[in-house]
Amino acid sequence: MDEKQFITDLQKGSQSAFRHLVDTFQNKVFNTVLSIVQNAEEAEDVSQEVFIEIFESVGKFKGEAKLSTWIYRIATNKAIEHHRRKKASKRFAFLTSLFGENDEIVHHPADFEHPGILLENKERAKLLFKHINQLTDNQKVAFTLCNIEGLNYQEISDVMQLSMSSVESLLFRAKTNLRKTLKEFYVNQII
Amino acid sequence: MKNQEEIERQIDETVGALEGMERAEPRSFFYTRLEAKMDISGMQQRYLIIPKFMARPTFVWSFLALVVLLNVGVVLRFSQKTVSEPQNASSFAKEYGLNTLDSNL
Repeated sequence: MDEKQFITDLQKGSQSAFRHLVDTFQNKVFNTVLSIVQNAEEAEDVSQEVFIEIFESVGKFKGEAKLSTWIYRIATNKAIEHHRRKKASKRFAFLTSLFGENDEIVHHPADFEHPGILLENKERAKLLFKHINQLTDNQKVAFTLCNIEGLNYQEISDVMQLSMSSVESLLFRAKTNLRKTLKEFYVNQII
Repeated sequence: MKNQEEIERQIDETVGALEGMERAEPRSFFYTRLEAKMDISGMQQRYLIIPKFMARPTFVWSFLALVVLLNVGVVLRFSQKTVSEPQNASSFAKEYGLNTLDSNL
């Protein structure tokens, strides 16, 4: 189907067009959100919020960017928003724990296991995701879009609304920071 | 030196752990659950469509005070009316000739 016609149908509120959009993008949205949020149930909730936002604001979509770029933008923004809220609530939970409340589950969540990782890489991937979680929000988004969703630099710069050189720099810093924190981890392990 | 090489090897392998990974998929019937959520949020939005000034605490409290005052007024008025009830009842009986029935019995 022609993308312009498809967008027009969506803007008219066609239910079949919306269903087709969800069927086409649900895996991309879920995978992106899951890699940022690092919890399957929360990722499903956020993915649903992404599609609700798409449904509500498709009327404002002017077609300046590709539909997939716009959807990735909403997905990464929602996921980061959720990630920030979670971080803030963790901080609050830490404070409440000082006064004797039991927040063990909140403070020590199980290591995230991405379901798409090859069996032989599971343990290493767990460790990697733990370190990805320590990156800054922008670095995390750029790294996820590049290494998990497989987007090229141009697509990432469109999604993040940054220049190509900024994306390159973000990815370089993300990889450097990952190697640095992993090195600290292995130095403590081996020595 | 050997440790350094080992550390670098471990880092390379860990960074490469994402190679060959597949895309994660949501649980089955994602669209059905999404539709249900959209229905709920749509309902909530319908209930939220009230003019802004009506959501202000000053308006809400004034409105509640007015309702209470009206209730108090109604209660006071009714309690005054009940005093004159016997009078009304006798005039009603007279009008419809109910007293004659009593005297016949």
